[in-house]
Amino acid sequence: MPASTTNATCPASLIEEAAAPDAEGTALIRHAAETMRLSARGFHRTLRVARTLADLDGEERVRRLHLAEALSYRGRTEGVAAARPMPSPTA
Amino acid sequence: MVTRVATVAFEGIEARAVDVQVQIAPGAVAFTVVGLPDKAVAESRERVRAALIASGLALPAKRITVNLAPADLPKEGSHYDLPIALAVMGAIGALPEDALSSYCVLGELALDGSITAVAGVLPAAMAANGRGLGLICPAATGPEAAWAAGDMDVLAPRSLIQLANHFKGSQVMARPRPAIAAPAGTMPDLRDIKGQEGAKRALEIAAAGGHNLLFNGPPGAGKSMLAARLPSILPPLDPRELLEVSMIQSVAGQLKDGALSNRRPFRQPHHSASMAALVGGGLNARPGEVSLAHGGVLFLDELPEFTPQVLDSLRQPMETGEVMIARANHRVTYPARFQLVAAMNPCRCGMALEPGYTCRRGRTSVAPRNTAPASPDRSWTGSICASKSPRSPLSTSSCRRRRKARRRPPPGSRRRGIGRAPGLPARPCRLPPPMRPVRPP
Ligand SMILES: Nc1ncnc2c1ncn2[C@@H]1O[C@H](COP(=O)(O)OP(=O)(O)OP(=O)(O)O)[C@@H](O)[C@H]1O
Ligand SMILES: [Mg+2]
Repeated sequence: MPASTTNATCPASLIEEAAAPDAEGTALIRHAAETMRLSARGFHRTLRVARTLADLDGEERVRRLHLAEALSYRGRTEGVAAARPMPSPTA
Repeated sequence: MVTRVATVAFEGIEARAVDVQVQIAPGAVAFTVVGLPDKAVAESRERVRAALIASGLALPAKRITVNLAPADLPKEGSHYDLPIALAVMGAIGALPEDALSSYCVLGELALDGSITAVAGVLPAAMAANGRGLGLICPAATGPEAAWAAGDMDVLAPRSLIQLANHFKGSQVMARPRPAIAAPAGTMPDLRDIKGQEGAKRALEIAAAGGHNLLFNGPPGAGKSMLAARLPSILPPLDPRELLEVSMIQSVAGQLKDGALSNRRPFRQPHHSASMAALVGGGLNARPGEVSLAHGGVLFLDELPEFTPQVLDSLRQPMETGEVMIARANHRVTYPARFQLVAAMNPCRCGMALEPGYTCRRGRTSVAPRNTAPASPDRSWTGSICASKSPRSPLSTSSCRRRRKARRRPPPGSRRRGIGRAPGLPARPCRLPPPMRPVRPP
């Protein structure tokens, strides 16, 4: 693997392994995957960001708190990127 | 008899071996170049003729045929002037023929016989070194060529006469030294940003993990300002990345004075940039912004202003880390693994996300206004989006921790950390509450 590989660019299989969350975290991401209807790509991206958050906290293991923060950024993006119907002027 | 000189043709950042063969034979006086040359190559014989005459050499009144082999590889650019001129000089006995056999040659000629800088000297030098050859390149690009290997023979003459004197032994040239670019002034500092703790946190996470990032907020909140400060907290390029990034810059003709820089690239194309400028192409299939951002950041400010074609063209590089440019008769691939940072307003008046506002003018989306969305899946817009809620300020300890976070080492290996990010405030700064734009009455 090239030296320039980052959490954002490493292969999906590796991030699944490196960012495997603890039991609480697994429960959260499972739940979120259903309620937020995460695609496989979205799932991996959440893991990538959670891995970075755990790295910044100096933790070996990705925990619930990291996943929650990662998902919070995702939520905001989706709300913006999805082209919503324009609010009607009278509303 | 045929005189041969080694040179290269570029395919992306790869330099392929090309053989310049010159034959001077009796017959009608002519000077022809064959072997799939493009226009700049065909024009080369006029420059070669003029430069030889200016250097005091007359072309023999015979038939001169130049062949660029292999004939099926397209030859583009003006760097064939020098190898053609040297091969002709070898053929007429103005240079010892065996002197040329251990060099790969590239360079453009001016009409007065001086040698002008060309793009792609670094990859050419690497390829030459791989083939066990030395390199003859223009003087201005000598420092670039010297990077290829410490013990490689590099000649960087200013003119044909200087090179002829070197081979005669009357004025021997010194090997150029590898140059590193001086840090270009001070970078804008993250310290200048007041408030926006959430956005700063997002910027820090993006810098640490190489994640893509979208800033979405009202005008004047500091989105462009934040993005401009990302380079100051990115780690420097490591030596292998440095070489790859520099090869792209070399092929693009963007290495200033042949000096390499270990700064991560930060490219900010304007939204009116053409497709060729962004993904590459045009004359000589030069690398575009996505490749010039390789190893660094591609910042798209005012994201919804970019055309859907341009945004769609980012999908392939973002998925594969490479960009492919299709040409009439061949394809060129350049590396293009960049971190995408984008900024936009949530709606046309910019206030849609503010509490208490309903925008009457319609939300912006990454799909352009007045056009149907170009792609059903827009998840590429980012894995992080800056939140505007206040959070704890940055601290030195988080800066230290970032070092660990940037690289994900392969399983079973340990890698050394990267250097301290230079731009962060040394102490946690006390900041006023997040800035909000003033509301109209
Ligand atoms: N958080 C901040 N701290 C300090 N100065 C700020 C901040 N936000 C904005 N400014 C000031 O406002 C100016 C405009 O900010 P900037 O260009 O980053 O806004 P923007 O969010 O990109 O707006 P637009 O949506 O119009 O592009 C900056 O040059 C700076 O002087
Ligand atoms: Mg702006």
